[in-house]
Amino acid sequence: MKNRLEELRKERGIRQEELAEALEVSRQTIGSLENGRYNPSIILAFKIARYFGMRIEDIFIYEEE
Amino acid sequence: MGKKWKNYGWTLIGLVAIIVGTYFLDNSASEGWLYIVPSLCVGAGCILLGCGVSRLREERAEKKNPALEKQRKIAHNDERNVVIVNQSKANAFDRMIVVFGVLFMALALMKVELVVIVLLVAAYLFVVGSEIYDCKKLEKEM
Repeated sequence: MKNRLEELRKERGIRQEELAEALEVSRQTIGSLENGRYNPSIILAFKIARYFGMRIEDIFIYEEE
Repeated sequence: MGKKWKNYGWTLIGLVAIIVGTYFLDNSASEGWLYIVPSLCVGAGCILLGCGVSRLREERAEKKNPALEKQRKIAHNDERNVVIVNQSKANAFDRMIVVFGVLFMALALMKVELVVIVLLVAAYLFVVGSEIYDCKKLEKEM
């Protein structure tokens, strides 16, 4: 699943460490999410959406294979 | 009881177990299982003392640096870390099922005592049975 996490984070000038601290996850998790290597749980997806003040579908792009 | 006192308690129990175990090892002329119990006491005491001391040291370090404690909690609860650990355990379990199956075959071919094989197979079946039980339980819960 693709996502706009890196783009949104950089737009707001936030560091990975800061985002990780706000979401209470490790920095490695943020890195993996941005690279698309890890898909978040629905709870984490909601936390991310709330953090950026957006809807989940505006951040995570679901593509049928 | 607080976490700190719990760790002190386990450390103390470990220390006592080592002392008592060592005393009976030195002063007992007994053989068989009477010799095994003090040895087990020393072994279990070492484990408890080691774990207790390491937890106490960890707590002391975290108390001096609260950021360290927060970092440890985040790393412990991090969902990606949890997924990684669970996946690793699942893979190890799948491998264990195959490896132990082969091991039992080898033991049977080596004509190892039947009691040993039966005990090992019983333990193996208990583990497989608990997996099936957990599957059924989780199917109902989820």
